[in-house]
Amino acid sequence: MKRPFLLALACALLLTGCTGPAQPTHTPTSDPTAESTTFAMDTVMTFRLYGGTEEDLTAVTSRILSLEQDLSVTLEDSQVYALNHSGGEPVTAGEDFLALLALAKELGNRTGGALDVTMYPVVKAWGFTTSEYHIPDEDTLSALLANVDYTSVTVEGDQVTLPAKMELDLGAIAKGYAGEMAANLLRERGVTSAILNLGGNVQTVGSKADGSPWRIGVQDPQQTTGGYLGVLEIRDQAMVTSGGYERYFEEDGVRYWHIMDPHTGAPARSGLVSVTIVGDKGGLCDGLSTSLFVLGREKALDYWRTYGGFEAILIDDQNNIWVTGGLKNNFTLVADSPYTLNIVEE
Amino acid sequence: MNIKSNKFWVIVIAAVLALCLVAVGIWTWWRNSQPEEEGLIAVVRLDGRIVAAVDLNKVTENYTQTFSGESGNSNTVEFAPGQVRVHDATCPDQICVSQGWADRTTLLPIACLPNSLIVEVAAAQDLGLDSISR
Repeated sequence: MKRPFLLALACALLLTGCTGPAQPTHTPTSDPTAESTTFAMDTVMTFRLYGGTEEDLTAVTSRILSLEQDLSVTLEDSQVYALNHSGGEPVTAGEDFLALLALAKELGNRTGGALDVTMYPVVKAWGFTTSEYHIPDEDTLSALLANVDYTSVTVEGDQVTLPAKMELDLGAIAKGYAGEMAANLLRERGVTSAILNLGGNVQTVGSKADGSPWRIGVQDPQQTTGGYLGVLEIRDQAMVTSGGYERYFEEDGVRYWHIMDPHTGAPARSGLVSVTIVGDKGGLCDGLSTSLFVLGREKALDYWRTYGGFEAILIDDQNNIWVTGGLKNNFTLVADSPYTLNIVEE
Repeated sequence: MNIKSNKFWVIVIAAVLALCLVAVGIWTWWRNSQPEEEGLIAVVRLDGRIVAAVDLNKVTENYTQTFSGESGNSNTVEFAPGQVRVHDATCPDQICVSQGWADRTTLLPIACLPNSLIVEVAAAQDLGLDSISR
């Protein structure tokens, strides 16, 4: 019996040698049936639909463009522009505008004002709207901060009032909300697999064509573009990151980024350099990524424990990563990572 | 060790070997029927229109091309073997220039918002990623 057994073994080895190369390590994703890359809402948007049609793509694009038309702070016939130039008189707001105002107010209240949609004049003073950056002096900032207060925005029915001298900008939540609305529209139209990237905000519909989750890279905050520090697998959810590397300028060796602390009127220095939020609602994820960045790790995790409904990846300036419990089986660091991974349980 | 058992094993081994050969045959046929290595296409979009599509695998020496759009601004794009970048631009923020090189592992397009220019390298499947959150 000895010889046949050895022969069988050799053959078994041969067999594995035969079938090995026929199985690819990554199952190839089938090609998108409709895709586009466009500019909208001051950013680049890439949409890929797997199974959807060009009509679905057109429907999504026009939904996003109409949101931009209503919510842009610079387009002169937008509802937000009308409010900012109303001199304190009531302005009629559409459904999306009202939904975003309600979200902004809720997040403002829950974060102790870490998200304030009336920060626009301060952001302008730093030059982040024009890329002509400069550091405003103390007096300028305190004068501007006197007119920053999201609680002064009042809503009655569809009438919105903003005190004169104040300016509102929904930029911190509008892109996430746009992704959420686009995903809803695709689902209504029967699209079961799609991935949208709205200027770095990822919105997924369903899972990949083969049923596996989407694999999304988390930008490495120490690299400007492209490099990622880990991969998160998600299905049918939004994933939004705010980081100090997105938009910034440097003066005398100090980096000034676009994420502002409404209490100081200056770039938020909380120790965090990047916050990623994963959840079902893109608008909420977008607002949380900004406001939890401002709050810092301790308060951000308190928020997560108190309100829940989302998961987070926090990265600090000491190369630590904190991943909330719900993501621990879905997040993978790249090999030889300089970062230390910590799992946060409730 | 009787003859009967030997014969049995010879048949089993022969059958397994035959299956092996069939598998190799099918795999070889399948691989040959796949298209040749696909090009690595850099697509340049200006004001929403495709103005250049360059196969970076066929670029042997770096060269530049300048694109001027409706805004009156321009970007000079450098094409190189396997990669592409915005070499210089007239925009105020220079974000497109600071984005550096894009290659087949770059998931997000290089974008110049003020000049309405996008440079995209098609398909970054090498990373096994579908998108990047930033």
